Amino acid sequence: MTVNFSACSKEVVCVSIGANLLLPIAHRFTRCLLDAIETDVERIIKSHLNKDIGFCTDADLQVIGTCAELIKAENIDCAKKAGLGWRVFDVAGATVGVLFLWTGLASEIGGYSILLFLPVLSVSAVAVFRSLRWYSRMRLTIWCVKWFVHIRRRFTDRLTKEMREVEDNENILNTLGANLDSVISAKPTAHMHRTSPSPPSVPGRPVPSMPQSPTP
Amino acid sequence: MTDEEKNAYRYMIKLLIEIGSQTRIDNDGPDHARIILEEMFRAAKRTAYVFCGCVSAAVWGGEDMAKIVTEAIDRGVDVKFIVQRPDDLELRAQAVYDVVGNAGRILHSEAFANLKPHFSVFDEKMYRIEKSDANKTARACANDTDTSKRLHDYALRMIEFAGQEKSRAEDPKDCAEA
Repeated sequence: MTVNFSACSKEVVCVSIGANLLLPIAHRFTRCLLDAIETDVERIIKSHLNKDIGFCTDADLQVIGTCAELIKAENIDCAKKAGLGWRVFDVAGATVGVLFLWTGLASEIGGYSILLFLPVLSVSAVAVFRSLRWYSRMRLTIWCVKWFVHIRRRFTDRLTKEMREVEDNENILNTLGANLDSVISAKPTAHMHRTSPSPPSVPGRPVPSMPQSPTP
Repeated sequence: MTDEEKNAYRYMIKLLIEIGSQTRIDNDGPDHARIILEEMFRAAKRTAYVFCGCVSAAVWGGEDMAKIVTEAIDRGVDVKFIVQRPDDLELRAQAVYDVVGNAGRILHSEAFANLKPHFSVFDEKMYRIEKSDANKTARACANDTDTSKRLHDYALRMIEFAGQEKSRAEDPKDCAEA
């Protein structure tokens, strides 16, 4: 279904005037979208890096913090522009629309009257574009930090395991060494001997306590 | 352990030995111990020193174990078993005990009766050491020269000590002088 704007140019102009008068709302839409991006570093860490929170370094927080600050600055900048720039567009667009209606030019211009929507459309488009750009930038930053933290965590886990194993080995060896030292340094007794399945062949020598092997 | 699991475990151990991996493997149970010791015996080139309770059948009683130990001795590996309980006939793996004992490679000293932990060390490179007697857990590594050298030194001291004890026991005069 197609709409014939030429046939209802007056209505189009009226709607565009109304839309232009609602431009501050459209602009607020920008801010709303930007506001919707989480910029609180603490919350970001909690919601995205909760499991690895212990492995986040100051540098990680710094990266996310910087990105958050940029979004906040963008938001403030957006608010400043709203103070003058968009309102001039807004008033101009609406005034032109009223003039078109008043002078009867609206019927002659016909379908081109839809261009009066331009300010509203451009503000909305910019809003979406900016918000998407900052949102993706923030997500990318979080993802990068998360990935680095994950890698670091795996490496640290492995390193900790290695260190624990080395320490463990060291303890076992030290215990064995100490026990061996005490055994060897203790006065040896005469009944210690080497055993093998074959019995001593020389008579008169001590008989080992080990019994004979059942197999020949 | 199923046969598939045993084969997979043996494959892994072989691979670790072949590539000289420094990965430490924590292992438990006699099946793990047997596979590790078999493969380390197969790979040994110079020395194989074992300090154990009684050459138990659970670990040393595998079908191929006696053959593997014999092959190691035949290719010139210095095989020594330092045994805590040589009289433990019920538990010991007789085939391996005969192979090693007939070559005079089983040593014993009552001084070592309570010494822990048990270990095996091969070529000052590979080792298996029991970490915990209660949990029957052990650690093995196919390429850890630091730990292996220390274990090798301990084994040599034990062998020397047991040898001296044997001499004293065989020659009462020496014993009296000592």
